[in-house]
Amino acid sequence: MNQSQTIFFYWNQQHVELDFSRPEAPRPSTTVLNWLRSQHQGKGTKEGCAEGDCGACTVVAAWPDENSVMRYHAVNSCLIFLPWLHGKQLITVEGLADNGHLHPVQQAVVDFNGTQCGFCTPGIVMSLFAIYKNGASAGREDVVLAMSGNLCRCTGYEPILEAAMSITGLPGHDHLSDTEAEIAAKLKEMPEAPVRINHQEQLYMKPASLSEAISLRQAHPQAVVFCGGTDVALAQTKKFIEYHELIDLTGLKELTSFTEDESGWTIGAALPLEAIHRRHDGRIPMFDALFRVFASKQIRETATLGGNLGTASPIGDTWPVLMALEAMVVVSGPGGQRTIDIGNIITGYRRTAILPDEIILEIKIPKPKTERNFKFLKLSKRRQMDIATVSVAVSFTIDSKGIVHDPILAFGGMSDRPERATLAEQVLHGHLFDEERIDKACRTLNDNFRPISDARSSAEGRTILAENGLKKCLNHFINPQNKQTNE
Amino acid sequence: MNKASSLQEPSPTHHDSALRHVTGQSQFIDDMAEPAGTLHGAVYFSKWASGRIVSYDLEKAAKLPGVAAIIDFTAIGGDNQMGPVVHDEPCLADGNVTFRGQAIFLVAARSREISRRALASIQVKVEERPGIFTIDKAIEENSFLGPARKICTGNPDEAFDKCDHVIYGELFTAGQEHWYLETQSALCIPGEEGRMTVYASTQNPTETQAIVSEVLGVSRHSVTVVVKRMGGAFGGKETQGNHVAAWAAILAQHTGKPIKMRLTRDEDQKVTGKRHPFRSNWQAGFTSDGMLIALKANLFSDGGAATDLSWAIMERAMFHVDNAYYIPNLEVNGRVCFTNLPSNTAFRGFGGPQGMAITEQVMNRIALLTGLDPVEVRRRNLYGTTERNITHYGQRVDRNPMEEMAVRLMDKGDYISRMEGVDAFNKSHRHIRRGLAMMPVKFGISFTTTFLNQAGALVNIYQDGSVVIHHGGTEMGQGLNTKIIAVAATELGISAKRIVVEPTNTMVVPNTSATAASSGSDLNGMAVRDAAAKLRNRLSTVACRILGEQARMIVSPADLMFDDDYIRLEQRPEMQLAFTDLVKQAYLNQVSLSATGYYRTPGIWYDKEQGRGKPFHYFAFGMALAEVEVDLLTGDVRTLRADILHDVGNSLHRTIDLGQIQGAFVQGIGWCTTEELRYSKDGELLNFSPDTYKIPTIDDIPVEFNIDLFPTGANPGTIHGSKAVGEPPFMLALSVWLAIQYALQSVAPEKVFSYSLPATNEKIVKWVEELRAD
Repeated sequence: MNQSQTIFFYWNQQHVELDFSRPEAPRPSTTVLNWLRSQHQGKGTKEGCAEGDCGACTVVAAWPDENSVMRYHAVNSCLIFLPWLHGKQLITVEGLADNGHLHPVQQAVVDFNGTQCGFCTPGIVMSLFAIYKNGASAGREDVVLAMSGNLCRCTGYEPILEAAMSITGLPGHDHLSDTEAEIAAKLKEMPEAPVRINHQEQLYMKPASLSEAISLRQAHPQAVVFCGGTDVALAQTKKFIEYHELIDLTGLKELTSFTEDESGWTIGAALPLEAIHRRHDGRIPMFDALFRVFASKQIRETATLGGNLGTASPIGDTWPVLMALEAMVVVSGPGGQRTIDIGNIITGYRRTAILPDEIILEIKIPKPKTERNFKFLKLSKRRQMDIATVSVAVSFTIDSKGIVHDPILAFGGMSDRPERATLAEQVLHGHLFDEERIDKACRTLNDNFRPISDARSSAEGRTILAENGLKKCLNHFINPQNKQTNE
Repeated sequence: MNKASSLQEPSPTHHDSALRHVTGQSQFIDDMAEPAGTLHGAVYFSKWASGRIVSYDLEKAAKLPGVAAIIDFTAIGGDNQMGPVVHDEPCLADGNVTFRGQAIFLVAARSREISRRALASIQVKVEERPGIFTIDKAIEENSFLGPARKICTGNPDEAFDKCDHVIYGELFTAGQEHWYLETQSALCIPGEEGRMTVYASTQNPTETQAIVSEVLGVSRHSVTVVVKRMGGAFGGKETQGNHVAAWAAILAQHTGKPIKMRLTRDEDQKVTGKRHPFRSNWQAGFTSDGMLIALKANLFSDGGAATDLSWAIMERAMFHVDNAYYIPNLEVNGRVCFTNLPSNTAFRGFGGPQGMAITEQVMNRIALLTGLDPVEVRRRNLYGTTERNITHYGQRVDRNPMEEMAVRLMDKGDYISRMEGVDAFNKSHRHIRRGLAMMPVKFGISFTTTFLNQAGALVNIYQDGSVVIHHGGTEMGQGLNTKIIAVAATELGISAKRIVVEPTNTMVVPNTSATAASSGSDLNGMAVRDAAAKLRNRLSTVACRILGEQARMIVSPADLMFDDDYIRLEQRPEMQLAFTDLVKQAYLNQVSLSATGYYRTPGIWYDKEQGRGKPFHYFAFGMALAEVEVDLLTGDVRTLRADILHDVGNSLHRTIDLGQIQGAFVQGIGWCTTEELRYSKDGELLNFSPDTYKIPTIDDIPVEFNIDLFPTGANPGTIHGSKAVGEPPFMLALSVWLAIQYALQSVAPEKVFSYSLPATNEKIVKWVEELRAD
């Protein structure tokens, strides 16, 4: 096992070696934001909320992809821990201007008056920078999706949107391009990441292989395991919880695969959602609709399917979708691998059937054998960057006679766990698919769920939204010729 | 795209901090270099809404390694008070707590983390008392802050008898969290002789100075408050920026060490006041042709547990219950309720939005009952230009452009055909509906507390011709300093790059008013102009002599042109003198290059008892036309298009003004749609983080967003003929709320229905069920 306690990365153009065996080094689970803000030249990056909701702390991390092309990822620095930086180039707002001249994205924000109080501006600039560097031509909607993780309370966004539109579709050339190849090469040559960092009463473990992960897990049953860390970081930054043992599976090679064959797709538990989004290319049903409304671009760059399943939130957005897709989850532990049906994993409020010494390895999504209808809908107070009040995913087959078979109606936010509306499914199964049947199924939800009132909605609101959401999903498949009147 | 700006070169067309903002160089409180030995302050906030503190144990927290001090109210050296208008707000609880979030103890520690962990180990026992958490309950319990207020014109009761229709209604408009990006922060550095320097994020440095000096028990001349900039404020730092400064100062005095205090986002959302929720009932009488003849409205606001600015906010709501309409018989009554919630405070609009929402509701109802087009009803009732132009408090509405604006906006926004389109769309869609609504805004400009309408400035010219401006206003992103630079550049005839604005400093310009009531550039712009004019006069004397000698003629100041960094003879422009040379000569001739400026708004007054006066220097006008699409099943709202005409007189700075209009409108959309404060039945705020409290994102702005400045010419008696712009456009967003109502009403066109604000997804789906029910 690698004995080093040092991580290596670039901060803008500067090579950084952070040796955690030095007494003055920060605790390993220090967030990148807090580390930056402790540095003399790092105060441009701001803390607006410390929970990934406002984007003021947005930075860009770059690293070479499998083809050795540098890719630029906007991330929330308040939600990532320092070891994540190993082998990457961290680009912050201080690194954009070139020799006293503004970077094109900075210039655009100035030109379009996209800044007032200036507190959100560094984060806005970094999100724009990621758009700029990725070069793809983007329409208004793409820009909106890429920027919805950056809150601004002053400008009303219009000038920011205009600035963004002015820099999309450009070749992405800037002064960073000059050193890009050199930095990419150096990043590839960097030594292996440290596996165990033991510093300031914290043991931070970042296994290099699955077997190492499993043995570390066995040896440290108390450790918090995470994969992406967007949830784990919150508890530290918002509740000031001190973690003593952490196992970080982020980026673990065996957990970041993505394969597709005739039987279906296999997605590594540690593959970030944005990576899945890029790889599946619109083929997995409902995934595009899901990613459009799942958190923000910044969070999707680090959040993973494994993490979303592992936290087992009753409103975890991926759950209803995976349930409707009849996904299977492969877990691995000292006793070997086993595959669990998605429907059998959750056992209660944030409790799962995954054993404490098991690790989520991958998610298998079967390709449907018959032609099935799929629809996902998230009902939330705000369209973007919100947690669902209710989410619903449906899948079902309609035969040539118009009869529904094997419907799955999966809901988030309606119970202490993501759950299927089995009674409503029975109402649909074996019956003619028409409006009357849909209405009946929707009304049956009342017998299925007893939702709660909370910070997002009242129980009554949830009940109506669930019924309406189901109706909207199912209506979608009624008489496509009359789609307009159905809407 | 323009050539990349060099970082040293500010451009007068942009915000004066824009280059530093985009490069991350702009400093906020938390970015400042901390003096050696700085400790981090934290506050133990009450978890109880009402009760008596029976006992507490600070031992465990005090013993944590890294904790330097932990104190209660007995450690306060001066008065234990921080109420800005009425002294009804203890700085630290002294035996009783009256709201969740009230400060009880202060902690100073080596790090922010340790300070928060120390809070967690404090044990407190409180004997709880039942609390009041709603306006209804407060009314029932007769729980009020201050006296009832009334403004009345005509005789509504008699007038109702003569009206064709008399209707009744109720309206609830909810609170709003400011959600400035920079949470409440301060850095306090103790100095010699009991002095305290306070770097604060406050809209009101003078009041922060006053309150810090009172809690420390020192004279105001011992406290310096410095404000470079705020990371947003919107009214939330008009009085409540004082609190963190006072707490940090107490800790700094107690420990003798610099103290930095920055609230976490959750703390900030939990403990600070918000926009006042209002519950109102009204009675309206109108004719069959839609003329509103009489209105009686009773307004109740939720003041929270202390007075703060609640009276002035209620007053402004009462002043704006007419919005833009002439109502010959109008009685408005206002009462501020005491509740066991954090004291509600200023927020962009300052009661105006709450007052206007009532009348806009009445206008909609009149349209529904008369069958007239809602815009037609509004136009018929607009204030006139030569008659029907006296408000209910007796002020004449001068230079009223609203009818012209309405015509222009209807034309530009293609109102009539789009309305037909909306109606056709709604007939052909079951679950998706559209709405279109247009509304005017008339907003009174001035502090309604008359004496606050004053400002000071100090302008210094150095021997190299560079200029520094000090003024009493504060920069919170609104571009005040950019406008101030433009004013001074015009007065002195020099380029903007010669001028800098220094951080607001109570030792340089004393006795300032809050940067609030949209008045920042009106008041401080005039004060700066006054100072600059004095300097120009002094320089003119010197220039007359020099250019006179050059041209061999007698030159008087009226012959001079100050422009383009040169002073020239108007008749013989080749006779010129560089500004820098003139400044040097003035210095050598022993002419003072430093001048103070002062301004007070003339001719405004208000008699609270009689409800009569001229409280406003002028009115700002605007009009908005908004179209929305509402998904009746999901409650999702999208603003498809917004067209705005807004009156800023002669704009001081076009891009800054447009930015204010865009920003205010979108903030208003938030208030009208997604921003909902949810409380438990025991009054505990449930959504105290951005995870659950949802301000607009970039996806919530109008898909098509057209804003034009409406030319109304130079506004008399203001700085360069301009008008204030900070608040008025906020209220234009009520058009989105009205458009949502139009969309929903299509479900049951005849049904009289009570909407409230905000229209969240949850409320919309509930309303649809109720509208559809028999």
